[in-house]
Amino acid sequence: MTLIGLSFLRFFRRTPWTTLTAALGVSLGVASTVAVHLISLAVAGALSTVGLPHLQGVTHLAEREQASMDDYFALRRQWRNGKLPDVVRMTPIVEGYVVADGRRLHVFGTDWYAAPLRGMNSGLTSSGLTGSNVDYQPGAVVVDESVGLHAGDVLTVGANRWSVAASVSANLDGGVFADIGDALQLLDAPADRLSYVGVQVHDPFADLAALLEDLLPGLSAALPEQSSTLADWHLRSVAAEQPSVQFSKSVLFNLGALGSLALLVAWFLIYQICVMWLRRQRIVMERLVALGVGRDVLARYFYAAVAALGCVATVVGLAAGYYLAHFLTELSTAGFDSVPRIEMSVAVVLKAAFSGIAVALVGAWIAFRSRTHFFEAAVPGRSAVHWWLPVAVVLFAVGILVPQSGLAGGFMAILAASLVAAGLVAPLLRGVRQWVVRLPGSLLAKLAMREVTWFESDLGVAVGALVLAVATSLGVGLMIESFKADFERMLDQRLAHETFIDLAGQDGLVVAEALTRRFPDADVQAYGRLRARIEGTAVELGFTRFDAAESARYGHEHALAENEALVSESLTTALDVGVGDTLRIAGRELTIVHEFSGFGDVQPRLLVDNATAETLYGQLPFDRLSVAGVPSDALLAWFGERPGSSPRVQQRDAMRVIALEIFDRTFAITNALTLLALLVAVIGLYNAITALRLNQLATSDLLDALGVNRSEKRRVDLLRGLTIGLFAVLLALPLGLVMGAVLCQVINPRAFGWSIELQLSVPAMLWPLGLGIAAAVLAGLAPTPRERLGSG
Amino acid sequence: MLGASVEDDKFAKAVGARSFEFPRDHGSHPDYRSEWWYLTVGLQTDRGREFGVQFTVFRQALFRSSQPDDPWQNGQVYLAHVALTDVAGDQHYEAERLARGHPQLAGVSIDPLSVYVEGWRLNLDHDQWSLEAVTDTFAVKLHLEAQKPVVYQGDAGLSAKGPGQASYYYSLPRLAARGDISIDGENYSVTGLGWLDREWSTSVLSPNQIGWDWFALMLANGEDVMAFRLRRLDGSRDPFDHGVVVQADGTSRHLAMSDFELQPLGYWRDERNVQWPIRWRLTIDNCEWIVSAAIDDQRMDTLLTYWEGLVHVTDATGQRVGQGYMELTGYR
Repeated sequence: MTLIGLSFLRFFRRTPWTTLTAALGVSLGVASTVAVHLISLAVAGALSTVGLPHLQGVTHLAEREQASMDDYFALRRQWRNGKLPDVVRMTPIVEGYVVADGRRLHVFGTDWYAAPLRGMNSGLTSSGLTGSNVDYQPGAVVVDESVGLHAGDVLTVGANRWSVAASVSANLDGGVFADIGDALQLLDAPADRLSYVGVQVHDPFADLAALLEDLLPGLSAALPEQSSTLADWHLRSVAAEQPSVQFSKSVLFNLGALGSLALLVAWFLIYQICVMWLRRQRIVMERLVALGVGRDVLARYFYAAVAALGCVATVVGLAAGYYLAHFLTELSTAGFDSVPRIEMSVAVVLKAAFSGIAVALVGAWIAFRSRTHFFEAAVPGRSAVHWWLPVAVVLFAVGILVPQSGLAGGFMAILAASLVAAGLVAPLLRGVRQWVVRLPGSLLAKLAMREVTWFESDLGVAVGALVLAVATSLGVGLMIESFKADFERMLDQRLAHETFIDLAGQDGLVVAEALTRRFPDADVQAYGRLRARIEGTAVELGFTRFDAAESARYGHEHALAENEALVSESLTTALDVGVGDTLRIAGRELTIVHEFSGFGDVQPRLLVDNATAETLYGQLPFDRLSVAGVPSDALLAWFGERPGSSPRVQQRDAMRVIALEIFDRTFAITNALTLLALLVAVIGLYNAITALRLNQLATSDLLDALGVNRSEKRRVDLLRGLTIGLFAVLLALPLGLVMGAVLCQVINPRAFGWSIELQLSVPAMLWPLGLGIAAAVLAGLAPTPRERLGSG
Repeated sequence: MLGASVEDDKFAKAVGARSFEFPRDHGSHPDYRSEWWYLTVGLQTDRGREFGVQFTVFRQALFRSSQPDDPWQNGQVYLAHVALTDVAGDQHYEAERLARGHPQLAGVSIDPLSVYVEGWRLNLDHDQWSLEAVTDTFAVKLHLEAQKPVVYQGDAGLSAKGPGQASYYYSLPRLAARGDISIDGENYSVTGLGWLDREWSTSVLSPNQIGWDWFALMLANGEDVMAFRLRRLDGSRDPFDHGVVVQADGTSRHLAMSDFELQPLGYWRDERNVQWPIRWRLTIDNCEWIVSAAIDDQRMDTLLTYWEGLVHVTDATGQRVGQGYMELTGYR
C-alpha cells in the first residue's frame, strides 16, 4: 500500500509548479502567522513588566456603595465560613491622595501582613520589601519610580516620615504602596475607611485561558468581560485597573486576526490545488478502487501526502516568519528607543506546525470529500441549500448587535461576512452566465468571459480568496484613512498652542510663574492630571484653565463652568453615560457638557476647569505647560539656565509631524499583512487559471484551427483575467465597505473605546480594487507551466 | 517566622522565675515576641473509631508597636493550624489561617479567654475549655475539662532551650474531651483526652540546633509523660533536652537529659524524600515504651512544614498502654 502514497508524492514531483505554488502559499500563510505571533510575544514580554504591584494575584475588585471596613470583615467572615467557595483570598484596599512637597502622591494600602506569604502582593514581595514578615518594618513604603525616591530614602508627609523600602516600575504617576495601617496614616483616614476589596477568584479555566493566550496573544482582551457579583458586592475584573495593558492586548489581538488572514487565504489556495490534483488523479484512483483499494485508504494516503507538503511549507514559513517579524518590527519602530526583541519559542514552532499542517490537511479533507463522488455508482443528490449561510448571517448579526460579544464578536462578524461573500462567488458566477452571452463584443471576448462563468468550480474558490484579500485591504484601508482624517482633525484642535512643555517632575505653577516673570508677554497655561474613580472605574482627571479657547481644543464652544466636565468617548462607553448626564466623583456631581474623541488615550478621561478640580481634590499637581508668544530657542535657553531636571519642549508643528509619523508606522504592519494575503490570493488565482487553461486545451486547439493567432489568444487571456478581476472587486467592494464600517464602528470602540467616522476615501478604495484587478490580469497573462496533464 | 531579628531587643526575654497567674497567663503576652497555644486531643467514638485533633495558634510580633490602640498597627500576626487524623480512614486533614492581629481578624481576648483566628476559636469559660474550628473539609467542636492541675515545665515554668535561650512553658495534661467532629459532612460524636501546651518567649533556637522532637503521652495507668529532644547539627544529644512525668495524682517529676532516652526505630519517607522518624523507643528510668504513629502521613503541609500526629504507646510486650501526640520539626 505504500506504493499509493509514493504515487501521490511522485505526482507532486511531476507537477512541480503547482506543488511549489501550493507550498509557497501555505508558507506565506504560516510566515504571516508566525511573524505576528513573534511580534506579539515580544510586546507581551514588555507588558508583563508593567503592573500595579499591590494587585498582583488579585483577579477582581469587589465594590459596593459607601463600603466600610466592617463590610469587608462581614464579607471575609462569609468567605471563611465557606459561603463564598470560589474565593481563594481577599484583601482590603484603601486608595487616596496626599500631597508631599507640592507633589500629589497616589497612595494604595493593602494588608501586607497576611497576604504576601500566600501569593498576594507578590509584586511587593519581589521588590524585596516583604520577603519575610519578620523583616517587615512599620512605616515602610514602596514607591513608583515616578516619585523619584529610591530604597533607603525618606518620604516626608506632613510631620511623619516613611522609609522607602523599594522603588518599582508600576507605571503609576506618584504611586505609593503601603501596608493598610500605614496607608491609612498616610491618608490621615479613620481605621474603618475602605475603598474596595481585592479578591482572587478561583478560575477553573485559568490554565486553559493562559494556554490560549500563549497561542493567541491578546485573546483575553478580545473576550467580553463578565460582570458578576460576590454576595451583595459588585465584582469587576482587575484588568480595568491596567488600561495600558488591555489597550496593548487589543492591538495584539487585532494584529493576530489580520495575521491569520493570509493563512485563511492559503487554505482557499490549498483546497483549490487539492481539487485540481484529485481531478488529475481521477483515472488512477478509479482503477485502484476497481482493484479493491478502499476509498478510505486512498484518502489516508492523499492526506498524508498533502500533510508532508504542509510540513515542508511550515519549515519554510517558520524561517520566513522570523525574518518577516524582524522586518515588520523595524518598519514600525524605526527611530524608537525601545524595540521589542524578537525571539523564537517552542509555542511559536508548535503554532506554525499546527497552522501549516492543519491548513493543508483541512483543505485536503474538504477537497477529497467534496470532489471524489466518482467512486460512487450514483452521485447522491446534493442539497442546494447552504445551511451555513443563515448561520453566518446570524453570527454576523450577533457580533454586531450584541456589545457583550466583545472584540471577538466584532471579528466573528467580519469572518461571517467574509464567508458569506466567498460562498456567494460560485453561485453568482453561475447566475451571470446567461447575461454574459448576451453582452455585445467579439467572439473571443465572449469566450473569455464565458470560461470564467462556466467553469466556476475551477475558479470559484480562488476568486473567493481574492475577494477576501481585496475586501480586507479595502476595509482596513478605509478604516485607516478615516482614522487618520479624524486623528488629524483632533490634532488640529489639540495643538492650538505654539509650544508644549512636559516638566519632568517640576511644579507646573512654579515654573509658569517664573516663566511669566521672565517673558511678560508670554501666554502660559498649566495642565495637570490625576487618577480618579467614578463608580469604581479608574479614570484620568485632567484640569487646566478651561476658557472658551481651551474648550475649543476639544470641540466645545464655551468655557467650562464649575461642575461642568468634558469626557472622552471611552468614558461615556465605559460608564454608559452621555452629554447632559451627571457623574459623581469625590462626593460631588459633575455635568457632562461635551464628549470628545480621545484617540491614543488608554484610559477614560474627564476634563474640568481648575476651580472644579480644586473643589474635588484641593491642591493640584501641574506637570505640563503650553506657551505662546515665546520663541522656542529662548524657552530652551531659559530652561537650560534653571536648576533641576530638563523638561521636554516640543513645537506644535514638530509634534504634529511626529504624531502622524507614529500613526503611519502603527499601521505599517497592517498594510504589510494585507499585501501578504493579497499575494497568496494571487498565487491561488494563478493556479486556478492554469487549471482552467489546461482543462480547455481542446478549445485552444479549436481556436488554433480557426486561425486565432498568438496575439488574439493573449487578448483572451487578458480579458479572462480582467473579467475575474472585475468580478472579484465587485464582490470585494461591498464586503470591504462592511469590513470598514465594522472596524470603525464596532472593533475600534470595543478594543480602544473610540469610534471612527467611516469616510469613503476614493484613493483608499481605488488602490485595493485596482490592485485586485491588476493581480487577476497578471495571473491571467502569466505563462502556463509545462506540467503533465496526465494522471501520472 | 521564627528567625532572629534586630527587633528582638525591643521585647522582653524569658529569664528567671515567673509568678504564673490564671486565667491571665492563658492569654497573650505581647511583651514577648512569640507565643503559642497548642492543643492536641486523642478521640474515639462509641464504636472505637479513632481520631486525633491538633489545634495550634502561633502569635508572632512583627515589631513592637508604638500605637497599640490602632487596630491596624498592633504589630501582631497570627498563624493557626487545625488538623484531624482519621485512623480508620488512614487520612490526615489539615488547614491553616494566617491573619494580622486585629479585633475583627485574629487576637486574644481575656475574660472570658478567647484565642481566635478568623472564626477558629479556643475558649476558656469557667474552667471549661472549648475548641471550634470549621474548614472546607472537616469541622471540630470540642469541650475540654482539666483533670489535673497545671504542670510547669523546666524550672518552675522557665524552660531552657540553650545558653541564654528560654521560654515560659506550662502544660495542662489530660483534659477530658467530648464533642463532635465531621468529615465531608459525616458527623461523629467523640470522647477522649487532650493536652494543652502554652509557651512564650523571645528566644529562638541556637544556630547548632536544627529542630526538635516532642512527645505528649497519656498512659492508661493515669500517668502522663512529656519528652522533648532538641536535635543538633552534629547529631549529639543536647544538654537542654528535658521532660516531665505527671503522676495520676497530679504530682510531677522533671526529667533532665540523662533521665530519658529516645531512639528512632522506624521512618516514613514522604514524596519529597524527607525521612520522618515515626516509630520510637522511649526509655525513662527502667521503663520502656514504643511510640508509633497512628498513621504514617500526618505531616503538616503548611507554611511551616512539620509532622504532628496522633501516636499509640505500647509496652515491651506490645500491649497498647496509652496514646498521645508527637511533633517532629526541622527535618529536610
